Amino acid sequence: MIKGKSLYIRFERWDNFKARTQAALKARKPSIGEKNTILFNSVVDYQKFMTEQKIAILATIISQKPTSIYHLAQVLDRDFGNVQRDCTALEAMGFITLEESGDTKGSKAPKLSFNYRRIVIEMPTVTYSHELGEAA
Amino acid sequence: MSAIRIILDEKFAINNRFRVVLYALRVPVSEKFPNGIKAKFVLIDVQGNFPKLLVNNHEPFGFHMHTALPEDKDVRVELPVIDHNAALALFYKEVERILKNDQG
Repeated sequence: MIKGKSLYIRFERWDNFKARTQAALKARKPSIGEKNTILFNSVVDYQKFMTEQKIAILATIISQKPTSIYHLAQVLDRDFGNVQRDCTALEAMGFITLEESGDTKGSKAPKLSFNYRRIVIEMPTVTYSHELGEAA
Repeated sequence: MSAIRIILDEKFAINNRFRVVLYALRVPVSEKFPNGIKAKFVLIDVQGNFPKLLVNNHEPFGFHMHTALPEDKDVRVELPVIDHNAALALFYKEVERILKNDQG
């Protein structure tokens, strides 16, 4: 068993999210998302977002602790612009933060948003039915 | 005097392009915040990590929408609402319009 914290990917339909947050605000009842969880609209949307290259970026941040995106691109042997674009998206989704390195170049060091070591994708329950009336 | 309290702090990835961030605080009722709610609703463009749409109610404005982000953060459209629930509904309506346009 790998030690370390988990980041959870959970799924909720967009329409449900809108209704839930509107109801919470109307009732002034606290609705606070869990800090270790990222909510996606669907499994397909998550899979479109989380490419193998992005997974490699997260793994490299853990293993190599790159001091800049340029450094990260070198380790991954990928084009800097593409790595920067992936890092920007990962930051916007809450997987990483880009922290000022404090050097004269204004470099940004990619860090995990918190100290997680695995991403747990909690697939929604799949429900299906057999229409027995039609089969008879 | 009532304490400031978070009542909404939610983030949601609509698809691989856009993410919604909602934040609302219950604050003491005042001229600035007649409903006792300070709110910020943001649609983030994930590809550039910039706000595409922002609804908030900081002073000296009531609820207003920033519609020309990220190019011009000073463009504000005042919303014809004083109620935070109506402001959130308008935000969602505009988000739907942006999503529809993005899908082409």
